[in-house]
Amino acid sequence: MRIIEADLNKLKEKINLMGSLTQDAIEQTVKALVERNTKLSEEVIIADDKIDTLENEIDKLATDVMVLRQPAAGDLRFTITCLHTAGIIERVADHAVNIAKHIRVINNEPPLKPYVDLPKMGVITREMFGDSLQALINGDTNLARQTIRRDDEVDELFHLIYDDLLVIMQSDPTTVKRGSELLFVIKHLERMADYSTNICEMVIYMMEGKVIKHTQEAF
Amino acid sequence: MRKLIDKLVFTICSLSTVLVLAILALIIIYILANGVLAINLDFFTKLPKPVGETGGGMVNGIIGSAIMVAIAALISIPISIGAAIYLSEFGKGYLAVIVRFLVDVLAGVPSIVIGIFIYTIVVLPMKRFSAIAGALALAIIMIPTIVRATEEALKLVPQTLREAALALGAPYWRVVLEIVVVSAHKAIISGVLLSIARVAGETAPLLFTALGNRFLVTVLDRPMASLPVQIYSYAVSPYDDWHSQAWAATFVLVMFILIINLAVRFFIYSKE
Amino acid sequence: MQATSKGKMENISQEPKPQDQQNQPSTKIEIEAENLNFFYSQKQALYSINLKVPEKSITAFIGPSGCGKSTFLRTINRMNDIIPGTRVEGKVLLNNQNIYAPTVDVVDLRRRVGMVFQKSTPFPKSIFDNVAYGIKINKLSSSRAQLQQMVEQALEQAALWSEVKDRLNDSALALSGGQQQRLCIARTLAVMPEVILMDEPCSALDPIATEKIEELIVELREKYTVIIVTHNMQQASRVSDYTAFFLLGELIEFDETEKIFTYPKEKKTEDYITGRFG
Repeated sequence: MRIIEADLNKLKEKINLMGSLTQDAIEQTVKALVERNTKLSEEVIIADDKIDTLENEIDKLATDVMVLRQPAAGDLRFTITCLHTAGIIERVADHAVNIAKHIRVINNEPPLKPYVDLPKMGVITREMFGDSLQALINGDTNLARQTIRRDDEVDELFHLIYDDLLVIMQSDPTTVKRGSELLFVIKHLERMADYSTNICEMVIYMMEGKVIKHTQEAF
Repeated sequence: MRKLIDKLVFTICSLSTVLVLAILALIIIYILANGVLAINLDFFTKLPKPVGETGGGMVNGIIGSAIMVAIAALISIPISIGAAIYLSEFGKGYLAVIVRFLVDVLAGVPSIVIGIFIYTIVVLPMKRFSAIAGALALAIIMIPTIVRATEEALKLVPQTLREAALALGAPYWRVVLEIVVVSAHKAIISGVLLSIARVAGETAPLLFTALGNRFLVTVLDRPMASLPVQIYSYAVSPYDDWHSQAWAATFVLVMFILIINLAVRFFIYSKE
Repeated sequence: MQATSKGKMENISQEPKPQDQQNQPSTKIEIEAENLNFFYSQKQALYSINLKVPEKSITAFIGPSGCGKSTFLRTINRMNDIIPGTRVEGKVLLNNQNIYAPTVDVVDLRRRVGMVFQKSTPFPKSIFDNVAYGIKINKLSSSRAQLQQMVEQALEQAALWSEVKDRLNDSALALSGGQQQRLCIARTLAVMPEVILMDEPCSALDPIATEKIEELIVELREKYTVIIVTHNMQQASRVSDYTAFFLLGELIEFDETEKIFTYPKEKKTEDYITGRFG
């Protein structure tokens, strides 16, 4: 076996672990929000430490691979992708933590209204992240491209909920606090979906050598 | 057990070396002991005395040998180096194979056969033994040695050196003469010197060609004396004085060969 | 070294805009191989090579031993001609002129296409005479003073002048390995070639000497078209603008170096540069 292979496998394992932990965090946050479970949201905040540690480990390992193994071509693109993606995943996890912090406030107030679109947005965001992670681990560019397209669904829901919340807050000033907290929540979810598309863009770079972020390239 | 065999092989090899060195040392000591006693200034400056008288020297033989070896070298060096350059740099076809084979055969021919050959084609038509015939015989003996030594020396010049010179836009003949031959000059000169040392001691080819002369001559179409022939004739004579003079001549010859060999060694290992 | 890394950065920043590449000023082609086949007696060593090398660039030839990269290099100055039994089919164009045309003067061609070898090959002459040899042979100088000035300039260009200026009459064999190699480069530069071919010029040198030669190669790009055969892929990626990958006598891929090393189009290239080969 090539010497570099063992290192690349280790990188892949760590990325996979970091991604799974983050996916759990998203899932728990959405659940804590929908089910008004503050305790669950506190767990998310605690679990984030592990994700931060993994990011550092991946950074170090990827740097070592570049210095010591001098990767080229596919190996190089994989290493760069890992380095980049670890940062993105860490930010996704931070957004989950931020939502968890908003949940503390929201759950101290009475429910605004039965959530319909919000759980939907949460599920799609979670699925997008899960799919981007799977595309990364399997090098699946089809899945990556599909996932990037789903970002529109999230954006649509964002605007829908946003308008909804504005109407509620205008009609009843006592809802402003809860409502604005929820505005933050949907903004965080929208950002998470964006990051998932960034991960998918890295998958396409990794597999095809093409840089598609900040381009209008159709896919 | 393995150690034992190891020691055994080492011992056998060491003993063989000692034996070889012992024989060589014995010869040199014997020649030294006999030669040094007989050598004196007269030996280098006087002609042989008439039979029956003691004293005299071998100036005729020393000068004769020097003249004939020098002429032989003048004839054989250009021919041999030319042939070697051809073989090493240009000779790729059948002609080269044939030339190389002939050179090998020539190297293996006993020197007396070459003497007879020259006797047939030079001495008989001239109806006279001569220095030039002797020089020719020596030249023929020198040729294969110099050709082989030079060819080997040229072949040791790295191919990339030729290519490097060609890559500068040098024509091939200039590369050969200015780079290849110059690079190999030490080994070529060594080969020449060793072949001179070798023919200086040749006796057989001179017996039928230059014959010998009790007087000092410097014209080339007369019989000429030489050290080896003189050693031969003095050694087989019944006179004690001649025997000791033969030893002296042997001593001179051996010293000459030894000095050339040392010179070659010194030359090869000297730095630019 | 700085020049390369700077060049690469610019290229990377251009990459997101693919249309840029079409708008790049079309560079002049210095060397072009057209359907080049090469034979050692019966054995074919190169199979229809087609390649265009732009002028004033550095191109690296990479590939495993026996892949034909050195053989191809040596077709460019017809150095293979001296090996008996070799045969060339197809064309090699130097500035649009077929160097295998019957009218071509091989000796002059070799002056125009210089070559530096794996083992440094100083002539058994003084440092000065090593550099002067090519100038004298090609009658490039008209006076002793001009010869001296040309030798100095060549040594200067090869970054050797300051190290040898006080001992020009010493034997070239007394120089260190790296200095000898730079002397060989100076000797090549002295005859004012258009192209410089380098056959693994650093493979016998230590890392410091290697770095000096690499810096020199990058500087040479200002004036010359350089082609370098190397077994060291890091070296190819460090110094070259273009990389050609050869395998079993075929040119598998030729592209800008950063493309070859980040996203080669051919699987064989990828396998070779990531060490999966074999």
